[in-house]
Amino acid sequence: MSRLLEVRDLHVHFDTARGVVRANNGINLALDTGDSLGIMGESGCGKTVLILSLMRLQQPGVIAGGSIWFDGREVTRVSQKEMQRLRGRGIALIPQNHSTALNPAFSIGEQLGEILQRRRGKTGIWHMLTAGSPSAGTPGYGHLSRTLSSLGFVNEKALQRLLASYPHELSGGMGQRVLIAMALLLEPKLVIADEPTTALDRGSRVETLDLLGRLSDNTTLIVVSHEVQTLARICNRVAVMYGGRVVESGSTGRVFENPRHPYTRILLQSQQLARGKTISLFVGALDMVRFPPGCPFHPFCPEAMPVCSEEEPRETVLEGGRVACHLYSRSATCLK
Amino acid sequence: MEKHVHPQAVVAVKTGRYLLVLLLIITFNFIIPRLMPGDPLLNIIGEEAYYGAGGALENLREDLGLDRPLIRQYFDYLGGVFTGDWGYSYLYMQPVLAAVAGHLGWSLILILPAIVLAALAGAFTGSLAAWRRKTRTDTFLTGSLLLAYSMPHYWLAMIMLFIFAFLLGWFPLGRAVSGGLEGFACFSDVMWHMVLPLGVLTLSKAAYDHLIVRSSVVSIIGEDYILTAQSRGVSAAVVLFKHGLRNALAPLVTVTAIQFGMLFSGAVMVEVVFSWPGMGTLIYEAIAARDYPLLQYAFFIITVCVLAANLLADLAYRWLDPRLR
Amino acid sequence: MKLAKLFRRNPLIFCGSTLIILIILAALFSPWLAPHDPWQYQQAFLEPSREHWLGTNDVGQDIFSELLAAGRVSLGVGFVAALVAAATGAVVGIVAGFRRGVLDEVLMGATDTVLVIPVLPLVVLISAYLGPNLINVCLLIGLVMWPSIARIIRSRVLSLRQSGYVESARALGAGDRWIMLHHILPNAMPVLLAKFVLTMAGAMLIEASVSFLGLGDPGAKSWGMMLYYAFSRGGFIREMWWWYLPPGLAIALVIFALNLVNLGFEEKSDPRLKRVLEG
Repeated sequence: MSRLLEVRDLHVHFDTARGVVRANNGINLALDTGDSLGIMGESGCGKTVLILSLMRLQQPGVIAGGSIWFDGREVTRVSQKEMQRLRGRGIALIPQNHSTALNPAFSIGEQLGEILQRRRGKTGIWHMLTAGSPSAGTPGYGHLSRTLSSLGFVNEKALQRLLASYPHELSGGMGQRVLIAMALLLEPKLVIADEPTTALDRGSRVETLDLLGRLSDNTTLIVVSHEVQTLARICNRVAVMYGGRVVESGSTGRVFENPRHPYTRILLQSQQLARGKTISLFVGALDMVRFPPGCPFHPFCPEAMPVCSEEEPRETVLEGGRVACHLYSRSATCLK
Repeated sequence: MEKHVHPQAVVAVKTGRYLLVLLLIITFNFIIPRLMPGDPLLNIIGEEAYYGAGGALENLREDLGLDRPLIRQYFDYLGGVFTGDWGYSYLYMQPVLAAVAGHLGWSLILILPAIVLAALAGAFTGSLAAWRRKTRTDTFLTGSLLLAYSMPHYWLAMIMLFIFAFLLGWFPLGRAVSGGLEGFACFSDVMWHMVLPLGVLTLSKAAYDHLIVRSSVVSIIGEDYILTAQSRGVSAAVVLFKHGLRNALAPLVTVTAIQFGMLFSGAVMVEVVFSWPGMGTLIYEAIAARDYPLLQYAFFIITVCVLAANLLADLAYRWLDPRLR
Repeated sequence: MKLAKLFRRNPLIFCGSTLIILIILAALFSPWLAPHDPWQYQQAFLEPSREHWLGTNDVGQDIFSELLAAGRVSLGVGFVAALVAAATGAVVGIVAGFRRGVLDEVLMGATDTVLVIPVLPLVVLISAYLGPNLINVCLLIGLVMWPSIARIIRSRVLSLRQSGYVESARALGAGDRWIMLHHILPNAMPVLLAKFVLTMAGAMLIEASVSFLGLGDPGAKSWGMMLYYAFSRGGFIREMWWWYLPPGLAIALVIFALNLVNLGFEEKSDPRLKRVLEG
């Protein structure tokens, strides 16, 4: 078990017309090879910015502090050229929405062909511009068809039809599988799935969860989602985010059965009430420019204490995970 | 879910509309001389013919059928337009059709290469400026091209002519041919004469293309598929010029078509300065001589070209965007 | 400093507007700023000197004074033509977009038809018949340029129509005309203003071109007319750059300034921010 990813005190800021949006405020995360980490939170909590920052694609935001260690290397100050080498092979992203994440002007085959060129090491401009749709003779085709068949495109005819089609012709489930295939083609060390089930209907969702479940067995995975069911099914560890911070983390079982942070509890309760349907929880809009002092959740917290509005809670290590909440900071016990 | 709007049907509808516009123009050309102050005969045949005809004026009136009922005249006119009987130009001492056709060719020799060269240049600089938005590269490129775009075409032409022909003597002072040459020598002679006018037109059009492409690419940069491509480790150059620019092509084509009229007008002005024997010179001389038939048909043929360009662009647009095929 | 703050808010609009205002002021105050009467005949074809800052033209008029006075005509024509185009375009766009139905189809059909007709040749043709006349030119240009404004305004109106304000106004019994005038129009103003600026630039260019071809009004000299005389009365051949450079430069600067203002209106924030700000 080696440590694949470590994020230490990450701060990411965005300069906007209204002021500086502090999207990530001191994120701490760790991931070992083979783990599947779920990042849970609602819109605006900073989870998207976090995963983009891992790949240094957070522009126009800037990494204002902290460090990110991937596979033993610190990557926040590495050159863009170096990052390009890392992207796709080291870290790969499965985007959320296939209808916007695929270039509408190129066929699926052409887009996959481009990735195959990269796989062969042909990354020059000429090769990239002329990468056509792969056929049986193209190097890497075998790998492509194996990958796609593991994702459900079993027979050759279906495969050919897929390669010839354009993004707007795909259904939700098919599109999602294409996105997964694209991420897996270069056999990355870490795969990040951004809201993999949100844009799907029920049938496709079940399929996708299945796929991702299998994926988590043999790849290191980070899954970003606000759905408890998805994370419970796929991940063995989970981190809950609010206001640009990780408020609670630990093994999936422990966090979901015995949530410590008040926000986690509210989030879980509301989803149970909704019985698996996606709802968005309006705890209260958090102003990302002007944070209230102290704990960002305190204005909405049912268990807020006076200290919560003054001091930011530190991360406390407890049995089975960490939590950033004043309720626990006094009675902290260390793991041996 | 398949929604089939037969592309042939759309093209047919578009063509129909353009033909309608053409009919409107022809009708307009018919009515205008009869509406304007003064003797309709004067308005129809132009000043030189009118004042030069002397006693034969009444015969002319009869010849042209001006004593017949208006409807009759209209259909005669329509017939004339379609059979190529566009009247006679006393300025050039030729039938109007011949004069216009001859000049049109020369105009197209300038305009068509200008469109292509300008699109290539403008697409490149526009993408670059969009990628490096608000940096010095963008400010410099967009600023200077905006200035070039703001200059009247003919004024820019005068400056270029002054610097490169008068002062430096690198290029000829005007016209399209030096005369008396054959074959390849004639061809390269025309090329030599073409450099300055083509340069002016290309610069003006490229400036506009730059602005359009820059604006398109700036919005495209925010699209998810750009992020996806980047996440795969594709280099910035490829992301920009393959993924980004490809999606900016369709709007560029549309805008080029819409602006074709302006481009033609610009070419007209530039030709005057360079004495290039195209539509510009034709119009300039026709104005001075008040040769109305020439002016009317010049307007007509330019409109035909603009409509043809629009139609081509519509087709190209459908071909470029796979979602519309 | 208040000026510095205005500049920072939107540097493009600031620079563009400043330039325009300076030029307009120079043109407006030309009778007092000009050293000579631009119509007075003096010695012809003089080179620039202390007496005549930009020399004299082919009939001996002081070019510098001419330049200032011509500004009024060029700017005036541009402004009036753009006003005509904007007014017509706004009315057509708002009515078509709001009422929809057959009226919309008819108006848009007319708009598309006029939109496709090449502007300069048409203006040239009609001006050739009508003879040189400033008013005609203004009206003509305005009547040819309204379609693109109509299109843009109509799209804006189409999206405004969906807003809740319209629904509630109707529920309170407001008539169409009231809604169009008091809600739609004010909200379409920013777009209209941006397009007005562009149209003024375009109108000035057309006027300059038409005048250059010899169809301008000799009684009201514009910058375009100055260029016409410079080119056709031997100024260019005689390499009198002080005659043909300044008027063209003036036109270029005004159009440049107008375009800066327009760009200032158009510049959006970084589109990638929406990814962050929305979730």
